[in-house]
Amino acid sequence: MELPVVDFTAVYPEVVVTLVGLLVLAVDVFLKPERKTVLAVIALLGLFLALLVTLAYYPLDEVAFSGMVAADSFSQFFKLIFILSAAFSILMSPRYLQIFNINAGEYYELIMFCTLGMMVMVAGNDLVTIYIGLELMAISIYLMAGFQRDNPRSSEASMKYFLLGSFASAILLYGMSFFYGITGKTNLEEIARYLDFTQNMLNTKLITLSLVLMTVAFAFKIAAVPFHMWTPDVYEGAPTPLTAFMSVGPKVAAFAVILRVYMTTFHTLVPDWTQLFWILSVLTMVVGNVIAVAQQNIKRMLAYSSISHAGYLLIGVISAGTATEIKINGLPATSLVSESMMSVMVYLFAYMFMNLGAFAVVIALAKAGNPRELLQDYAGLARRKPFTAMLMTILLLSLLGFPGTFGFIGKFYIFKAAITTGNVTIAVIGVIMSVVAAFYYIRVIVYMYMREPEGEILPEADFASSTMYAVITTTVFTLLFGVAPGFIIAMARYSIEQMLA
Amino acid sequence: MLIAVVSGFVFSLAVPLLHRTVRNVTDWLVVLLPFSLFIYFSFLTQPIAAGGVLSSSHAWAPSVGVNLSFVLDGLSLLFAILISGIGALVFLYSSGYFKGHSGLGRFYAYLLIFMASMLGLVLSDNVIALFIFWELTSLSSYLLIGFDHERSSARSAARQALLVTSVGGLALLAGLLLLGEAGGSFELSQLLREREAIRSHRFYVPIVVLIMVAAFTKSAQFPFHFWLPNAMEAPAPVSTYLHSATMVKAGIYLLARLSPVLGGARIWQGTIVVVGAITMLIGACLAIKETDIKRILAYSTVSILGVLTFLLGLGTRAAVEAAVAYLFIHALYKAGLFLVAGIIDHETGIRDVTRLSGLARIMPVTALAAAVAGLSMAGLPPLFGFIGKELLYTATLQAPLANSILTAAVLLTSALLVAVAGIVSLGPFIGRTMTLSEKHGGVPLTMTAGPVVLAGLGLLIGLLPNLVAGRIVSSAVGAVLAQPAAIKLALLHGLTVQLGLSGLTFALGVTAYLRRDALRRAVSRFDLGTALGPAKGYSLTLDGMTALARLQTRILQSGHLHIYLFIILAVTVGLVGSWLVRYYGLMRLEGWADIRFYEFLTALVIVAATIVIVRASSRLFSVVALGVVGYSMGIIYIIFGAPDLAMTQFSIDTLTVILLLLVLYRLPRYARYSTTLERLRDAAIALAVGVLVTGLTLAATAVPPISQISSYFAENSYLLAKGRNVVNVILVDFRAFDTLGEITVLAVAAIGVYSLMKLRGNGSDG
Repeated sequence: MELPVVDFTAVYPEVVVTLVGLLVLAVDVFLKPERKTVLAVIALLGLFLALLVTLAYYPLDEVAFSGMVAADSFSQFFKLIFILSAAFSILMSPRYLQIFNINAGEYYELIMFCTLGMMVMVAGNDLVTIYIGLELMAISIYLMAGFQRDNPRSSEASMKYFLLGSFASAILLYGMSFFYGITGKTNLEEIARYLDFTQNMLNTKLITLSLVLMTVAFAFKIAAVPFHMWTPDVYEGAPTPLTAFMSVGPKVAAFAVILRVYMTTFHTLVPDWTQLFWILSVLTMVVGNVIAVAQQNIKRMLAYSSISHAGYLLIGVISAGTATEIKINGLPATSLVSESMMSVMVYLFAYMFMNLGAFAVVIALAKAGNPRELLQDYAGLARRKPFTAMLMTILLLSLLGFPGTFGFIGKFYIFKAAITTGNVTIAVIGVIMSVVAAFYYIRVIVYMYMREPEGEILPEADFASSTMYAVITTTVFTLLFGVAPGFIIAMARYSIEQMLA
Repeated sequence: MLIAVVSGFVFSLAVPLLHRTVRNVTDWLVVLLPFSLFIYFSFLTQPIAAGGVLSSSHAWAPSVGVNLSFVLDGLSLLFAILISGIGALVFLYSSGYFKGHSGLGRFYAYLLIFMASMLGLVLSDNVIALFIFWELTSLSSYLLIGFDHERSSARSAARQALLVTSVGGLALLAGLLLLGEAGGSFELSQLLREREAIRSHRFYVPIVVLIMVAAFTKSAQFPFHFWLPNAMEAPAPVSTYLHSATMVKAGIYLLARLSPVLGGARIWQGTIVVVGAITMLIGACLAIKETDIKRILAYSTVSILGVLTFLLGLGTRAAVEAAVAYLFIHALYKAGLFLVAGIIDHETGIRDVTRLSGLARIMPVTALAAAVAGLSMAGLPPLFGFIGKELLYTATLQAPLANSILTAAVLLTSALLVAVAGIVSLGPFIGRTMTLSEKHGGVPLTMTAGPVVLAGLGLLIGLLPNLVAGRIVSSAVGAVLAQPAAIKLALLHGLTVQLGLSGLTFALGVTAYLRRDALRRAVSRFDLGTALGPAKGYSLTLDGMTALARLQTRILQSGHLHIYLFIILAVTVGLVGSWLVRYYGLMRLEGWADIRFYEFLTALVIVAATIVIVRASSRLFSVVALGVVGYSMGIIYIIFGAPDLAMTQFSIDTLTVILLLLVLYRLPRYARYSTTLERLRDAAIALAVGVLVTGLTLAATAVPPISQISSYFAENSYLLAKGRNVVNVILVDFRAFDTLGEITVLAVAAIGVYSLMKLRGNGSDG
């Protein structure tokens, strides 16, 4: 009997994250409660190491573990996003944990394992690997959402997310089991080959049914309307650093999997899934943006805003799908496909910085016993904390897609991709909805700069420096890549070319 | 040219710091930058007039065709000169206007950002770069309008201006992306070559509509004109710079810049002429209605912007000539008048023209400048305004369509504007000298310099029009028409129709001025704007959106878990079901007779147990029934030949039941929270899911399985693993890793059970 070949070079980043997660768990036992910040330092150092390893192995292109894992630059691109978002979330945490009296040990460990889950997910070259990664990620998040145990909202959030998430996972598994039942394979490349071979046969129609089931599950993970209802409740209830983390990580991971699976494996089913995503995208943009207008709680507003961003991202996915069907002079329009996929990847990178940054500002303003999450709490902030207000303004403008910020670059490429692939209707809907979005983002800026606070003015708390590091770094990157996005675009292009080759 | 644009941005970063350290020098330093730019652009008039075009390009994101490329032609040069020249005067003025204000450094920074973006806007050859600068002007104008934000009206005005212009901005982005797609490039110079392809492209109409929305919002054209008067909450230097001389003309610039590419078609010409004409008339009427000096000026600006728009829409040579000249003239006199209005407001604190009088004795220099600028606005010789008016009439008389109607409309507008000129530049300065509450120390020189210089220029160019005609106006007209143009301007052409019309205008205007109070009342009576106008529409839209958002929240975001689950399941059933119905032929509906009795019995047990789970009144019952379901599933596995799976199922179910019992034991008894109706609804969705899954199963079984793994195990268990018991071999050999994993899971779960039992023993912690 032969053992599967264990090729660790393919999974070095995952190995590092796993070991550091375990190290955090082990060290936690020996630490006094007031010295738990050490854990954050260990986790950060570990993530930094993982970042370096990922970058060092960026041009990798191989399939390991009997085809279960794809160690390619496509997955490395997303691993960078996960590692960075985990690092930023950890940076935001120490003071928050302290003032809300949250036990630190398992907290950092769960962030590490959740990151690991997402990394496994994007590296998955097999439905089973993807599912395992997804569950590792999801279970960590169910736990994390309920971490603030003395707060009933937090427990409620955790319970809701767990129950609904289990349903989504069940539906995903159901869809995957259909795939296995029909094709006899779980490996993505083998499924793709099977689909190519059996095009126009009866089986394909049955496969479409399982595709719909899987799409429902992924729609839940990216919080697309109407599978979004858990988002605001969970985002509001969870401790804010984790809200920041879960608003970015799982969404990015799900989009990465969608790009890989739908573009490389289900490419024969493009008309079916673009149709599905079209409906989801329009609903998501409309409902997400319109409801966000009514929110008075800034965490809920950001929750709806992140829902609406999933809608824009879906536009890019749809463009990539339709691009595969376009023929120029009888040849497939490869550049259109890769440009559309690139738009989604760049948008996700931008989304990571700006969304984490905005949440970090919310955390920076929190005070013991008063999370200060209402819009009213931001009135006159520019006078009390001019620097923070300025950073928040930049981040909000980036979320809005204002030129000069990274958010604009993302939106620009998404809309450009939609127009060049002929999806003009949805691009126009996207633009109109961006106008609606302008309303609620700008309202926060108006509150910060032009409103006077009602009632007694509370002095601002001393800002924990680590949270501010997160705010400053994300803002700097938002601006830097807003002006010079070439580096990220080149990385994304490189990995797409490699994957599609 | 890159330096010309970037220097403003760089300087804006340094200014707040400078202001804190070397306060006195800063005032002069900030004037120096626009002034030197003005000198630089003035020297360029000669080569540009000679037909040259300056260009420079810097790669930004070349892979997608976005570059920082700049081109300076006649049109850009005209704007660049206005931006830098008036900019220098405005910076100078601000130092007096805000003397001692603590936020002056910040103000300079915003103003510099604005100036740099505006320069970038008019110099960009790349449309995406143009869009970026366009948005930056919106943002900096938002910061500038809201600079004095003590009043709530300033805040809502700033937000209104930003919202309206950002709607336009996004429309512009969409329009330019489509344009780039149609023309195959983002470079304007390239697009100009592709104009035929663009005009016949299927995106032509969307492009035109989107670009018009952008231009109309920025340049305050009907029905978006309402934001400009409200933006008068801004301090006077801002109103001068943004709302009369430069930013509001960005829309005009866009139309002029793109008219060689997009112009000519009926939709372009017709829409622009009609919108421009409506704006022109509405602006003039509303200007008469107002009493606040700055709002009067704002509406008259709206009116002039309408004039410029409709002239560009006409697109004839005479019209473009008039548009370019008028743009220049308007910038000179209106900036002057706004500065004067700022001085009046600054010195007296009053902006109501009915309460202002006799200021000429207090501020004689200002009064003189105002009078000259006012005469230019009224279009009297020998001022530059007069030349403009002559050109305007020439253009309407030669218009290719409806020339009599257009001429009449222009006549009416101009007459009203003559009255407006009287109201703002004459009224406040003549009559009984008003008493000012505080002791007045004279207007500082920094503030009077602007109006005096601007008014003087109006007079000078009026007398010697060919000072600018050849150098600036001709090359700008040439750029708009995309062909060389040589223009001679003259003050008098002899006794022409135009001269007669000018005379008539002036006579009507003077009459209107003398009867201004009656006129104001008349216009107010017919004013439907407040009830039906677009401003009302704006606030209704905002309210409507909030209401819609609340409604959606109530329906979709109730916070109840079962509603969420209901929606998720219903949508899933809907989506998958619709596909299933489409391919209903997939389902295999025969073969019922093959079902054996014990299979049927097992299924029956599962169904019965499920009903017990749902209906049971105690948790214990439910958990046990759940166990029954699990075991029956295991039996099904055994029947269909998967003993290893059955083993796993049995052990997991045993564990689940134990764990659940231990945990649930502590919970209170079931309580009934839902009404009968809700239970029926839940039953319905459960039934729907059941039907769906049944359908899917029927469809799945119709496909023959790909491989028979059981036969492989049966054949190879002895050969490969040396074991006769197939089940054992599968568990410990073929799937040894699986088994190891399962054992680990069970072990971990057992630890959990143990700790739960220990917890029960203590019985304290809940």
